[in-house]
Amino acid sequence: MRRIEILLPLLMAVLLVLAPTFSGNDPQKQNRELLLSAPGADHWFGTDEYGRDQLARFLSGGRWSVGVGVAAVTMCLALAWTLGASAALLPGFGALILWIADLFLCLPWLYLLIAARAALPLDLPPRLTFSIMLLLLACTGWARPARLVRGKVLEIRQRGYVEAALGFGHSMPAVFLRHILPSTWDLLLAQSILLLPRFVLAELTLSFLGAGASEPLASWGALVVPLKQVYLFEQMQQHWWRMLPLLAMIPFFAVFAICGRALESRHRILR
Amino acid sequence: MSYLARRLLQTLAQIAALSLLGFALSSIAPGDVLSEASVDPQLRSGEVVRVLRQQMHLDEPWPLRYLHWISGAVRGDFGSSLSYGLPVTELIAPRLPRTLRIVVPAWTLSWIVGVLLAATTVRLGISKWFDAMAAILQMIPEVILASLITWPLLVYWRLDVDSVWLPLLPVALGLAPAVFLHAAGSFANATASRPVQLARLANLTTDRLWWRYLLPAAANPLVSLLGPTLVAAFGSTLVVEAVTGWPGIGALFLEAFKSRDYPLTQAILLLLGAALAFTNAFADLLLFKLDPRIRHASN
Repeated sequence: MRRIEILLPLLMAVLLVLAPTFSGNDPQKQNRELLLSAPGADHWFGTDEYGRDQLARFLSGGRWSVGVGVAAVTMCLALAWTLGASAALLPGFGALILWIADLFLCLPWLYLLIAARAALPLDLPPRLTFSIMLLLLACTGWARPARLVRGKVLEIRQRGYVEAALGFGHSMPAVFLRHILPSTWDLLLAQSILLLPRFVLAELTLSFLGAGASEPLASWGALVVPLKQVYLFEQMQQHWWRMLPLLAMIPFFAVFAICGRALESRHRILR
Repeated sequence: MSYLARRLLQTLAQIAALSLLGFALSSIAPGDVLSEASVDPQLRSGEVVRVLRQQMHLDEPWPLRYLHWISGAVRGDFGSSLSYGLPVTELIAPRLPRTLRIVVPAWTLSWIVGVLLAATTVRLGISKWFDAMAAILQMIPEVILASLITWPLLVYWRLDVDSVWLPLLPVALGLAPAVFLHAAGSFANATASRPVQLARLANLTTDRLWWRYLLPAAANPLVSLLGPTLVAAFGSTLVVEAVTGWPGIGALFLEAFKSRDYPLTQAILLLLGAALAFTNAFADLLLFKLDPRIRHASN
C-alpha cells in the first residue's frame, strides 16, 4: 500500500477540521450593510443574504461535515469489522449476518436513511442532530465493509501460516489476534478512505433535503440549500458567488475519489 | 428444488423482511396517526380518538398491527395517507410513471454510454486516462452535479422548466461513471484471462475476439451490476427530483417524510424494496443462464 494515497486524504481531512481556527471571520455574524455582496478582499467568497461571510461558513461547515464523517466512518467500520469477523468465524451466525447485509444493500441507502430519520423528532438541537446522523450513517453503511472483512478473514484462515499456527497448538483466539486481525487493517484503512466522502455526501444530502442540521449552523449541507429550486436559478445568475462554496467542495471529493480508487484497484490486484 | 424456485423464495423472504423493517422504523416513532393528524379539536376529546384507534387497530401491539397492514398490502391496500386523506395507492399511482420516465431512460443511457466508452477506451488502451475522471465524477455529490448541470441547461439552452431532460441528465451522469469503471475493469480482467490470451494467439480478428471470447468472459461482473445501478438510480432521483422540482416518487417520499405520513413512507419503501429485490433476482437468474460456472456450482 502506497503511503501517499492514505496520507493525502488524511491531511486534507485534518486541514478541513483545523481550518476554522485560523479563519478570521465569524461564520454566524450577520453584516446588514453587506447583504449578498460579491467576492472582495474582506470576503473572498462573497456574502450570503444575511451578510455572512461565505468563506467562513464554508470552513466552519467543513469542520462539522468532515468531523461527522470521520466519526461516522470510525463507528461504521468498528461495527462492520465486528460483524464481518464474527460472521467469518461463526458459520451459522455468519449466514444470518450476510442475509441482513444483503437486505441493507437492496434498498437505496438514501431512502433508508430518511426513513430511519423519520422515526425521530425533526427539530432537535444541532449537536444532537449531528450525533443522530452519525449513528444513522454507521447503521446504514456497515453492510458492504462487513462483507469485505468477512471475505478477507475467511481467505486468511485458509493460509498456510494460520493452519501451521493452529497445528502447533495455539488456540483460535490467539491465532486470530496474532495472525488474522493484522491482515484486515489494510482493508479497513482503504475502506475508510472510500467511506468518508460518501458519509460527508450523505450528511450534505440529508441537510439539503431538510433532514439534517438546520440554520444558523453552517454545515456543508446548509450551504447547498439555497440551490434548492429551479426557479431560483435566474436569480442565482446574478449572485454567481453563491456557487463558490459548492465548487470549493469538489477538490475534497476529488482527492478522496482518486486515492480511494487507487487503493481499491491495488487491493483487487493483491487479491 | 430448482435454482429458480430457490431464488424466488429468497426474494420473497427478503421482501417480507424489508416490509418488517419499514414498519418497525415507523412504529418506533413517537406518537401515531391520530396524535399527529388530529388538528381537529373534536378528535382530541378522548372518546372519538379511542374509537378511531380501535377501528384502525392502533390499540393493538405492533406485531398484530403489522399483520393487519401487510395482509392489506398483499391485496393492494396500503391504507390511507394522513395528510391527503386519500388511499396511498391513489397517491403513488400517478407519481410512479413519472419517476420511471427518468429512471429507466437514465439507467439505459448510462449503461450504453458507460459500456461503449469502456469498450472503446480499453481497445485503444487509453482507459487509464478516463479512470481518474470517472472516479472524480462518481464522487461529486448529486446535489452539486444536478445544480451545475441544470444551470446551463436552463439559462443557455433555454430548456423548459418541466423538461424531462432536466432530471434525466444528472441521474444518467451520476450513474455512467460507475458503469464505466466497472465495465473497464472487467474488460481489462477479461483481456488478461487465459482463454482470451489463447484466442488472441490463434490470430482472431479483434471483433471476433471481443464478441466470442471477451464479452462472455466479462459478462458476469457486469450483469451483477445491473441491480445495484438501478438501486442507485432510484436513490439519486430523490435528490435530483428535489433540485429540479420533478413531481415523482422521490418528491412524494420527501413530502411524506416531512409531514410524518407513515402509511405513505411505508408503502413507498415496500414498493421500492420489492421492485429492487425482484431486479436483483432477475439479474441472478440471467447470470445463471449466462455463466456455466454458476450453473455447475449450484447443481
